[in-house]
Amino acid sequence: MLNGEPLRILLVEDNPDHAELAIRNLHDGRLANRVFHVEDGEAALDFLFNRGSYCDREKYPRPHLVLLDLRLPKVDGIEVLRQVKGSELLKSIPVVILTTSAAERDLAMAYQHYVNSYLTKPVDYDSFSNLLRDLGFYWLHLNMRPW
Amino acid sequence: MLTQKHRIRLFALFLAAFWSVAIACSFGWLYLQEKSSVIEVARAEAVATFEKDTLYRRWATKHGGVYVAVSEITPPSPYLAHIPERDITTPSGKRLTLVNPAYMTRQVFELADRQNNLVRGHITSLKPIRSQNAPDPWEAKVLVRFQEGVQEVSEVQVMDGRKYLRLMRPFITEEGCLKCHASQGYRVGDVRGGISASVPLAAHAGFAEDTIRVGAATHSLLWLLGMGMIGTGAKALRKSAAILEASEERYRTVADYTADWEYWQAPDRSFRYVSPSCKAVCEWSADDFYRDPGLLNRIIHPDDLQAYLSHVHVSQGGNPEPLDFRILLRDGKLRWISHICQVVYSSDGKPNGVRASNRDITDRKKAEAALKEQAELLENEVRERKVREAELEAKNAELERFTYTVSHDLKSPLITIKGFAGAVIKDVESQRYNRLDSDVRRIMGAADKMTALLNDLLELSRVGRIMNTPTQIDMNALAQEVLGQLSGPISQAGVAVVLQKDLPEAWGDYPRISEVLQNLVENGIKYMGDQLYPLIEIGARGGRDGVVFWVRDNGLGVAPQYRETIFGLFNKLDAHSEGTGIGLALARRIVEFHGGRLWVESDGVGQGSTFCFTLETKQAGETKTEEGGSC
Repeated sequence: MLNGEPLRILLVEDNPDHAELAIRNLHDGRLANRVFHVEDGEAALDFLFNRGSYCDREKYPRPHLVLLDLRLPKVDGIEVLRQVKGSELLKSIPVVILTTSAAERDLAMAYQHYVNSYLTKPVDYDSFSNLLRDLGFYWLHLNMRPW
Repeated sequence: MLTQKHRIRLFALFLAAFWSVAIACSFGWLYLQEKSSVIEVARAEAVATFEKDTLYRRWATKHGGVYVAVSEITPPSPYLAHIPERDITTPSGKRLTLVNPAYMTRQVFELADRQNNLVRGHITSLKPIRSQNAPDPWEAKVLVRFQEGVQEVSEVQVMDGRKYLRLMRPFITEEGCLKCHASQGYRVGDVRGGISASVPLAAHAGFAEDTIRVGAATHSLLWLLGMGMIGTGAKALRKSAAILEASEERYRTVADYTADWEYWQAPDRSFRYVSPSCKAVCEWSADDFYRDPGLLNRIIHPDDLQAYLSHVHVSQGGNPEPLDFRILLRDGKLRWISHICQVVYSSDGKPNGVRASNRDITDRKKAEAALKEQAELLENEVRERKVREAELEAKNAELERFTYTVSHDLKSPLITIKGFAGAVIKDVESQRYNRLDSDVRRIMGAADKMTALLNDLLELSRVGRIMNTPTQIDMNALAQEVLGQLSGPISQAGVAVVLQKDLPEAWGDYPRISEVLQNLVENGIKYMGDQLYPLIEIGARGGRDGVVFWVRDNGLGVAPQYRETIFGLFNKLDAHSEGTGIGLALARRIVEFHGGRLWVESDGVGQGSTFCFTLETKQAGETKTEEGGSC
């Protein structure tokens, strides 16, 4: 699978510290070639649909995985998920929720909107690192994609 | 009480008695009539005989008597011896003697006497020339009465065992009479004596008795016929009366023995029938209604009378609806009546008034009212409970939201702290120090963030829990104070502030309202964007809910989809902006605890925003203050 095409992750995370942690761990595992980071739901949708300041398809290509936080400024994570899974174009992209919330309501809502995986951020550093490494490895290397 | 049957019997008896008396009278009249006609006929016969005798005698008198051949029967009368030429001899030697009227009459009477059925005559006088002509006792009595001027006397007398009608008239002296009677001193015109005629009644009475017998037979027949008719008629009448009585009893029993107050009202509203039970229902008797048809309208409760009258009006149209109304009893108590009626028709199809049933439904109405009251109480309780439930639900939802937010937002810095602490340890282990400084700063930043969050949470929890005593607030002074406190950030950001003059007063918790205004102004400064001439205005306007205070900026503005999001706890539109995102949530919570609303108006991104909130301008009712105090 490690062919010439770079593997891309879209990270939707409003907390810059958490984003830094995630990016650092993803890079450390040398799993993704490129991690795109946006800070709110509106930006995430603009990125995915290539609208607004993200209209350049070359610069902002379709990601192979979306890591999505739930509590986001402007448009929240569930709404982003709903729009992605409601789009013929985007619904095949695996979306993994990565959030601090373990609330049943959020879990149920996410699955109702066809989420591919739901993970909570572990407080412990090692667990956090391992989780992100495993996550990247699984989705980008073990898991097979049609494209 | 006299029944119809008895009345008919009495009437029949009376009729029978009357018929009997009528028949008896009729027969009696016939009887008397017949009896008197016998006498009348006899008298007429007597008179006729008398007249004829007088005529014959007058003829003889006129001739001065007649000469009759002397014989055994007719010897020369010794009482005429003084008359010259009493006896004469015809040239052939035949001896003739003078017969005067008296002599002649006597001889005729003697002839009549020999035959029973002929009228017997008798010539008599109180002073007879011939002694045989002396009167009998009855004649003597009558003759005395003649001298008193009586012209005729007739009487029924019994002679020789037989009944006779005797008639007697006076014998008046005429010129011719004096030839014989002048010697007795009579003059013309004197009553000289009388002639009596006696008519035997036997034959006449025979006829009368026949007539009476026939009369008796016909009367008996008529009487029987009448009695028969009366009897048959009475019997037929009694029979139909008995049928009528039975039928009447049937209907009377059906109508009278009822618990409801039944009546039949004629088209003129007078009562044709009122059941005796009305006494129990409305305390007035049936007779009261018969006498006074207007009574009904007067006992109906005045508040229900209009409804009843329109019901009456409708019922005359033929399709009345049942009606409930109240009546007033004599002691002023109320009674509920369920009234149902229908138009009745006579046998020829004409409307014939209204037949109504009235039932006492007071108990039912009372039960209904009690039930209704109970139901209302229950309903109120349910409603109150629902309101409480809704309040509780809202509170629960709020609490859930709060817990969720808090757990998420408090966990977030922890992840940062532990994450970077771990990274620092790893870096130290591998002796890479280039990221140490920034990582430790991140850890400290997260710890500060957590402190800020905890402070804000405490602050938020105080709203409503800890209230200062509400006062009348001079909003002008309050705004000045808030602007004074914020003078640093305002001048730093280079924002011009315009405060409208003469803001109206408000009623509330002074420090909290200051907090609201402070948050709104701070918010305006924070989200001013790249505005070249930043401006914040504070003012008030009249609105639907009273006074609306507003804080307007010409900054970034709020897109329509975020107008509610911005008030969420720890919600921020811009992840990089300062603060925890509690400011607007706190401001709204304070205003809501004052019973007002807080919202944002904005034409969209780059168009600036106007935050508006409402407050009471004066102290509201006691309850509101208490609510504020207790929450």
